[in-house]
Amino acid sequence: MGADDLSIAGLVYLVTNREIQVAVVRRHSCEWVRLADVSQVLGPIARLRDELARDSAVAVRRLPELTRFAAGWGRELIPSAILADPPDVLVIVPHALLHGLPLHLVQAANGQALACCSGISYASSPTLLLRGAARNPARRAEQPAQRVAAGGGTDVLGGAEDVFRSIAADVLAEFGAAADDPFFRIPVRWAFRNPDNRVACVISHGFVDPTVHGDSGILIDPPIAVATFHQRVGDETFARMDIPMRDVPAGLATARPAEVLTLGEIEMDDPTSVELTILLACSAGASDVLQGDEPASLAEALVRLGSTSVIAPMWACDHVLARAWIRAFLAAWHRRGTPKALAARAAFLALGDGSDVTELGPIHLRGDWL
Amino acid sequence: MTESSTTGWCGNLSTLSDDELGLLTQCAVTVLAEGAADDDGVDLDELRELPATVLAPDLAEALRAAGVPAGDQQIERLAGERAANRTLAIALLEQICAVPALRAEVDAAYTANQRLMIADPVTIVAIGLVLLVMKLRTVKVGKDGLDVTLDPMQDVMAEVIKHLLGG
Repeated sequence: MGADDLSIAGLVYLVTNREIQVAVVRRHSCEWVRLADVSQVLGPIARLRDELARDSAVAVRRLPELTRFAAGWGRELIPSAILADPPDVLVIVPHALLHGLPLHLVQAANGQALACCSGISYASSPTLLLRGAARNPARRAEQPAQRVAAGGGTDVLGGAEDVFRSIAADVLAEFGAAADDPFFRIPVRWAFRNPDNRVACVISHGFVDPTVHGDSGILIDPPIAVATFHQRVGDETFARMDIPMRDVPAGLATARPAEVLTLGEIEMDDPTSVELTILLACSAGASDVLQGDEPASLAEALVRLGSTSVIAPMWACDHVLARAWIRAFLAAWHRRGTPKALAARAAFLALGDGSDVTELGPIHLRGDWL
Repeated sequence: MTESSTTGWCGNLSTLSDDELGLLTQCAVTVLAEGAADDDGVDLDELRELPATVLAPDLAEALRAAGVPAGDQQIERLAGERAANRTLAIALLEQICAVPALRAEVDAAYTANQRLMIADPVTIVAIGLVLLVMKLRTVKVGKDGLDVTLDPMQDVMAEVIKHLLGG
């Protein structure tokens, strides 16, 4: 089945002071549907966010609020026509308090999570979605014979060094590449800056700075060399050494020397041309919402940097689950040529049949679905 | 923290790092609080989120009821000391290790937590765990809902705290 034969729908949300509405966009139609009162969902959303931020509950998958969301009140946030007959591909564009909600885990009428029925991708705005789609190599006639991939994995906290590196090695081996080791500032940036790269892979610890969001970031290996950027402004060339903008957060006991690559630094970087970023860093897709309805997550920053699509967890991620998900995804997307969203559906189905949403984990696809 | 260390943590509690003890304490709090009966009045969110200084008066009261002459400020001071927190955490986890059903539940939670790719700092906050043990009489553990009585643990913890307070 080609992309043109797929049934595709978009859900573009609008949250006002009182109610939640959604525009259901299909190939040749658009219909506004009123969904729920804001006052009815404020409490449940807060409880769900609290639960998903609680690592101990996530670890043992005791997530009653998530289950209530998926089987109960969350279903009021999806139009009944979509629940009754999920399309092949569903693009979700949340708004305001809906950003960060795992709407893909809501149960369809058949009792399965939507993520197991449709290929689902998130976008923070229709404009960003279209911008990403316009750059997507999959939408161009001339496609490279082979996808070039780069990246690596590191666990500077020390508990799962081998696991992180081996997940990165597995991902990159799919593309005939080797993981960078050590995985420090230069190879991390090069994975995004190299114009030949089509896939960037980053497996590391992420952290959120609750006070200065741009200071959130990922923990990487310490440098064995320092790059210098040269920028020409008028007749003058300015040189800037690539050194970290912040220290490792206080209280984080690293097993060895480490550095931070911040969201702020990623946002200031040159645009990337990768078609997929695999960002398995905890909570890399979790975010506050900034002014202008912009989710301030690492995953979102990479979409804005130019990555056509990003795979990232929305909350704390279990590395056993992450490995299983990404394996199934790559088998479908890279080996069989399935569109990314449908490969994500295959990955969710590899974790469970969708009747128990706690089995499906926190990973989501962001950006273009193809 | 390595996955291979999880099965053996009961045998070498005193050699565990603060991170490992902190995570084990967190897991034990979750297991006990989830096993508490609804009418026990235990608010798990409070235990997780309130600072030790706020929990101290509650614990002091529970200790006085158990015959340990403990002042609010004494307990507050104790809660702020790293060494005291380690001692309390180790003493409590030793008790948990002696009950196979509890040990298995805490071990499962600990193993699952170690699989998370997170970078949150974990500190040992033993006071919440002690408070739970002092307040609860029994907890239900495991899928079968096995009742575990905490009275013996309460006696041991009362003695440990009495010793830490210099009594």
